[in-house]
Amino acid sequence: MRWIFVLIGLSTLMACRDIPYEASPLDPRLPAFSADGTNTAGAYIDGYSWLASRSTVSYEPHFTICTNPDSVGTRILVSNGFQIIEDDLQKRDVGFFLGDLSIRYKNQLLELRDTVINLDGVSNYGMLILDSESPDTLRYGVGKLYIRDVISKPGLESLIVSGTFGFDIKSNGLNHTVYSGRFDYRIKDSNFCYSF
Amino acid sequence: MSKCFKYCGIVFLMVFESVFFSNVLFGQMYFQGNLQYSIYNHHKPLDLVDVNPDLTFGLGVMIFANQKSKFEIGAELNSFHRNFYQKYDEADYKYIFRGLDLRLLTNYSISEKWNLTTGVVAATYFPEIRMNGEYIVEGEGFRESDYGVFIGCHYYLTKSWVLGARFDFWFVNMLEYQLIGDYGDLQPKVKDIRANTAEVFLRYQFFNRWK
Repeated sequence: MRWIFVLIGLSTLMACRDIPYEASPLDPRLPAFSADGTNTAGAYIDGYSWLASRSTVSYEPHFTICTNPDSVGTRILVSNGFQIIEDDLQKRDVGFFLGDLSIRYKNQLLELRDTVINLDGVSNYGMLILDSESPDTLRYGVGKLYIRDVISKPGLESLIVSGTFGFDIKSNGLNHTVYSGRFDYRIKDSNFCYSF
Repeated sequence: MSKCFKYCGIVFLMVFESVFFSNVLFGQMYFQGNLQYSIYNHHKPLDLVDVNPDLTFGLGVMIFANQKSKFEIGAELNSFHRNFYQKYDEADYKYIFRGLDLRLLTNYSISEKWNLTTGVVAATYFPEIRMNGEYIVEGEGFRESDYGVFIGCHYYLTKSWVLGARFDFWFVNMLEYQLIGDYGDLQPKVKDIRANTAEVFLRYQFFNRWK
């Protein structure tokens, strides 16, 4: 009987271990590509790993989907991600502007399941926000955004949205790269905003 | 738990019980400590470095028809351990695999003190990744079982102490992953990391003759 309590105690301790994120087995600096609603994102920005996860910041990462009431277009922003560049922690946000879509409600995301959005750099594009001393938003990134899975479960108020992405941004003669991106978020009504 | 491991476990128990309950067979039990070094076959982008030796411990049982028999069959249960590192940004990412392995083996006596051994091995384990010692994740993409064959030999230092060496050929790729391309395209699934293990062991035999 005593051993049963010991085992239960050990199991409880194991369950309480803080798991910051589910790491990719290839490069544990980045999260594994998943569709579980882990609220993480990762990519290589200019060759350095970028991670948006609870472990990297003291506040929650955000995945916001914003529309303007009087115009077509949706801005998706994955914020509060960080990179370590030469021992220096630097904040980076990654986003997308989808000029042909207006995503105002979470159920509209279900229609985007298993779609590829071509970021042509004109109507649809990738964004990179470099938050150093003065935030600098780089726009018109060219590449791809894959919405891999949108999962709705009965009884859950949130949807799980996961996907992959990558794009290049040319700015001031420099080519910034956002490669091998992946995200996996639980989306609630509070993830939506109505102006940007 | 893999089917292979379960079947080996059943055979291990059968061997154990057959010695306990048989009026004919002779048996012998042993404890042993194993010092192992695994060699990992892998490909880019994986870069496994600093593979350290693993120390594992086992319990075994052997059956023989009589004390002059040249053949023995046996079963062995060992703790299982593998580890390697990947290094990124000056941080050490340690991959650790802990579990159990089961061996069904046969020994052949080539002289009074020398024995050859061969058999099959199945392992079940739990992977985890640590960054600078801090737990990260239970190894997304890693398999949790492996199986293979082994060959070896051992030498009787005394009637109870045995020194031996074995080489394990493992068959299963430990990792299955899907690379995300630069622009988010998913590449076909890849299987990688196969281990071969060299080990030396020191065995203490007891219950030299049960019947």
